[in-house]
Amino acid sequence: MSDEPRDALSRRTFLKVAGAAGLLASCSPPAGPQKLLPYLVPPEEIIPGVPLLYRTVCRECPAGCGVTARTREGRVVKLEGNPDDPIGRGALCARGQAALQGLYAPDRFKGPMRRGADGALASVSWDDATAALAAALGPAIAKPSAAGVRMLTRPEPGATGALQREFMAKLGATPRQRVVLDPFDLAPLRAAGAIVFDRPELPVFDLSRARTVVSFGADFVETWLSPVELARDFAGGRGRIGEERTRLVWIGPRLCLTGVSADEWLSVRSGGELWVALALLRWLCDPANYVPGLAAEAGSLSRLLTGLDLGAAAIESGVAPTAIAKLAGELARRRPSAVLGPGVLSTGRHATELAVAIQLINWVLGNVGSTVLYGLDPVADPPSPVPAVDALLDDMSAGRVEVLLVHHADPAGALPLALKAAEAIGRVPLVVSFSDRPDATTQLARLILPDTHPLESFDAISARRGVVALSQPVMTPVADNRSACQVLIDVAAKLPAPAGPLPYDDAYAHFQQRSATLFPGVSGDQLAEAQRVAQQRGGVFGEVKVERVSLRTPDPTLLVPPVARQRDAAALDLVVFPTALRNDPSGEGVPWLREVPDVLSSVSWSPWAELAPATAARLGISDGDLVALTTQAGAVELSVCTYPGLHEGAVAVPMGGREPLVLLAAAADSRSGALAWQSGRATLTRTGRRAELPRFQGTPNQQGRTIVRTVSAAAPAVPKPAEPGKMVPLPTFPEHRWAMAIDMDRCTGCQACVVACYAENNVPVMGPEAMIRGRNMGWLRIEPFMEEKNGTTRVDLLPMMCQQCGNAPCEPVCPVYATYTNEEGLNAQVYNRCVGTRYCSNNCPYKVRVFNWAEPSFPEPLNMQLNPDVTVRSKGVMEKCTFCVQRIRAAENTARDERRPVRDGEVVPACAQTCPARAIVFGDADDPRSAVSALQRDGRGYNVLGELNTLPAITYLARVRDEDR
Amino acid sequence: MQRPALTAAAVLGALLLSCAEPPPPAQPVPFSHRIHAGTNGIGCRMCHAYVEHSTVAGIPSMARCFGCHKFVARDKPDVQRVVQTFQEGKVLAWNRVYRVPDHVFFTHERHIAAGLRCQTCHGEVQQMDVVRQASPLTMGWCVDCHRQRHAPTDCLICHK
Repeated sequence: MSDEPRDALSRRTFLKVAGAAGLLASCSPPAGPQKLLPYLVPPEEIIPGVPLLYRTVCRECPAGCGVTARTREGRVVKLEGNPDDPIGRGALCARGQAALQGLYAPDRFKGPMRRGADGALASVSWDDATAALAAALGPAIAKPSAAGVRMLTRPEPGATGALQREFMAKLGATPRQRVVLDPFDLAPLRAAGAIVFDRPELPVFDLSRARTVVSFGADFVETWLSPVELARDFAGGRGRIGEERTRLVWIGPRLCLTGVSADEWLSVRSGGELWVALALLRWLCDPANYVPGLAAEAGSLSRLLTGLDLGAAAIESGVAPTAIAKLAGELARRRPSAVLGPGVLSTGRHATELAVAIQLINWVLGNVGSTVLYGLDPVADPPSPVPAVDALLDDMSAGRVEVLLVHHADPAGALPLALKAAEAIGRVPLVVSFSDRPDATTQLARLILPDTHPLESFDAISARRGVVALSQPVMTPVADNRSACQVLIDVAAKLPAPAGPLPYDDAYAHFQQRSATLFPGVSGDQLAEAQRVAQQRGGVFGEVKVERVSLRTPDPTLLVPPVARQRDAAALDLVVFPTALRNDPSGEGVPWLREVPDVLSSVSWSPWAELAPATAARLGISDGDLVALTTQAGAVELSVCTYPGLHEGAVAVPMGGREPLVLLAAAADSRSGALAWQSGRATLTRTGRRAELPRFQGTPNQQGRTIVRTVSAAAPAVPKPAEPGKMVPLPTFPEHRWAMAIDMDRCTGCQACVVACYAENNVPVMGPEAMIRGRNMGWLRIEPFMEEKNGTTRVDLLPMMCQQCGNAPCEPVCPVYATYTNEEGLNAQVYNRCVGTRYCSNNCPYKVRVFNWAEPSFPEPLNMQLNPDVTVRSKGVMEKCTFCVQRIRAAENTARDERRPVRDGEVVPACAQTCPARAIVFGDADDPRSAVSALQRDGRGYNVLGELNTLPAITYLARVRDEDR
Repeated sequence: MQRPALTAAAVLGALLLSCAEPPPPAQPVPFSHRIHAGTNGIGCRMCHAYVEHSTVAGIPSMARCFGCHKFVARDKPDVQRVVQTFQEGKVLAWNRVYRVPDHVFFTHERHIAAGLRCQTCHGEVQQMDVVRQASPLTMGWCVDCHRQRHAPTDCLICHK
């Protein structure tokens, strides 16, 4: 030791220093006391600590579901459906749940911005910004009909749209200078309505009455038309066994979530749907098949279709004539039915023909007027016909547009790049964007006037005839944003002659004036009261009678299938598909929409390419291989996920990122002009590299266990497991035994519950790197299990969360008693006692406990969304589903205040609350009259891994499989 | 030999310092609960208005102060400061005296409904000029009381 350098830190010195440092640390003054800020004048309606609810409207898609926004101390913390609203009836989809993060998105603009000479955005004041816009509009409106001014907007079926039209009229512009853009507009269905029934509108589908539903690529549980309503009505006919159960047949090249719910999948080649539809129509109308009770026009339709080559139909679609005959036979027998389509997944070059064939099938079967309803589309601000959008792009490219006002539309980022929208916009001298979040179009804008979020603004949305949903601000704006209506009024006030100000003091005055028209003949105080009541209810909900339509025999050329094209054998059909979470680029920057894994591929954050396992094997590609996809429009590199629910001749790419837009050509449906999403062929080459995807679930294989069970008409009950030996006395729960039942025949896997759980329980978002390491923090997940049997693919979905076991394996292994079963049957997890050994997770057979590997982060202002009733967990702590114990406690508290027991149905966890299919039922299993105990006794009921004697509180009701019928 | 003794003394002193009860925090104006609740006999609920309805008792709004001090004790400089702050549209930032950790979900409403006096936890506030923390607010202290009164002691009652 003698040769040790003298200045080295000896052990003794180290301990001294460390001790001194520790002492100093303990002597340091504690952090200052917390501040308590009183109200200046307390708002009458706010009681701190008690939620305050506002009714408003979801604007994430055109469906227009009502929303109940729960606010705490002036900030909105959770969105739920509005039970009074006839469309959503209290439920919201995953996208609707995530709208909350759109409000608090950290990347939102914080106020008006102007792009300087150096190309960078700089903040300006609202006065300067509106003055700049008014000044720029001055020379433009001096020209006849303000020829250089254009407005590009998303559909605004309410006060905003009306004000935009007024503003454009003030400028002297023609109505055609305002273009309404919705890339996913179902223009073919609109066109078919015009052709077949002389009704250029979208029908409403009432699936609650349909006994058999056939969907031609219409993913109605996720994105098509009105997903919450359609999923709910469809699920109403599920959960039973036998003839009265609603059957679903899915026709398409890829099993989307709707297809997963289907009892039968006709796997067609992309673009082959029209052949199937025509063959189906022909079979039904063919007098030789003696289908009774068809519409009178069946005979003439049959004559039009005799030329259809059924052999060619089989080859072109890949569906055998026997399968078509079987489906037609079912449709003939089970009425009323509903045939749905086309959706994005079946919108190709002949989408209008497909839509016509579908509506003709509905007509001959008598579905029109029963399950297919016309006359309910308010046709309020429908998307412009596609030629108008093309004309706008042409005008911009040719330099004929001087000022472009963009209102929540993202042509540069949401349209196929082959349309060259970004280049066209780049040629406009002044692009003004009202978007509140950065997107590809705001990158080209010189002036950004960020609009308020729908949760911060007033509007009156016509979602359906007779239904006007009223939106209202549920909190003060998060940033210095201003409603686009207000900006238009401000700008108009500054315009030089000949334009003049708009006749409204402010946007609210305009809204009030407009909502007054909902109450004809009412005025004064009565009107104010009526408006207040309507606002509290969330809208004006009336009933409108369905209109009868009559058939116009369509042009025979519509019923001729396309000429079979020569296909390059080496290429694959390019299938692009939207999902509820991933459909347009606006999901970027909303962490929940990226973190929650796609149900079927289990991928989060990253885009991917899907291949059928057989195709992948043929090409020598395995999961995670990076491949180059090339079309005539462009090329991208993507990692491969094999998916048995894909046609072997196709490669599928999800929407929501840049990749599908790069690959898509500028093709259009030949009749309606709608974007032909499914028209491309892609060649696939191996790059030799691999890129690991953030995939959540290791395998879709059950590994020989029966985690998901199915029943059928032949075997209507799940076999009960043998009573396990009892070595310890079974637990009893004297007061309550909180329990849940999940009906897997109703569940569609839409993940609304997953996002609702994230919102309710402050579940942290970890990001893509953590996802690659499997560190997803979700308390609730949808597990996909897949198997291929006899050439058909079966996908079963299982919502999995903590089973709240009565005999929980996680408990005896905890060294610090941080987890235990309480007297109400809840498996408690006490965060402040947990030391993070993770033994509980290792011993949990369901793998539903998640560990905080890192300090969770909620970048501002996302922290404002945090639910104040739930602990924000910290690093090193285990967590899991609590059955929303805060809601249980709230209900128990109310019941105790009112000196009564908790009523059945009074406690509703976040997942059950938002479920569009009403698949989740929660209640007290101790009460034999409760809904949940009734479901526990159902023959379909079983416990996942019940053979382990864990005594779970969750009963799954087995899915009914009757594909053999 | 002197150094170890000194070190020991320093350690002891520091430990004592860190264990001593911290003084009550100074408030922006020397509000006296003794005068309000004691001398004048104003009930707690008059100002802490949410205590029967919510998890929190609530800090009285500035308007609530002004409600009385529009007329009462206008000659006192501290009252004038409160009134002036209110009239300027500002609020006083009070310093919190009672605090439970973020993972504890205490509810005033339930305890009031159970018939507890405010003083049980907050001490004889009506005798205090400066309010100080009268009870330790430790989990053991909470649980002791729950046990004595046969109130629930399940972890999930307070931890969610």
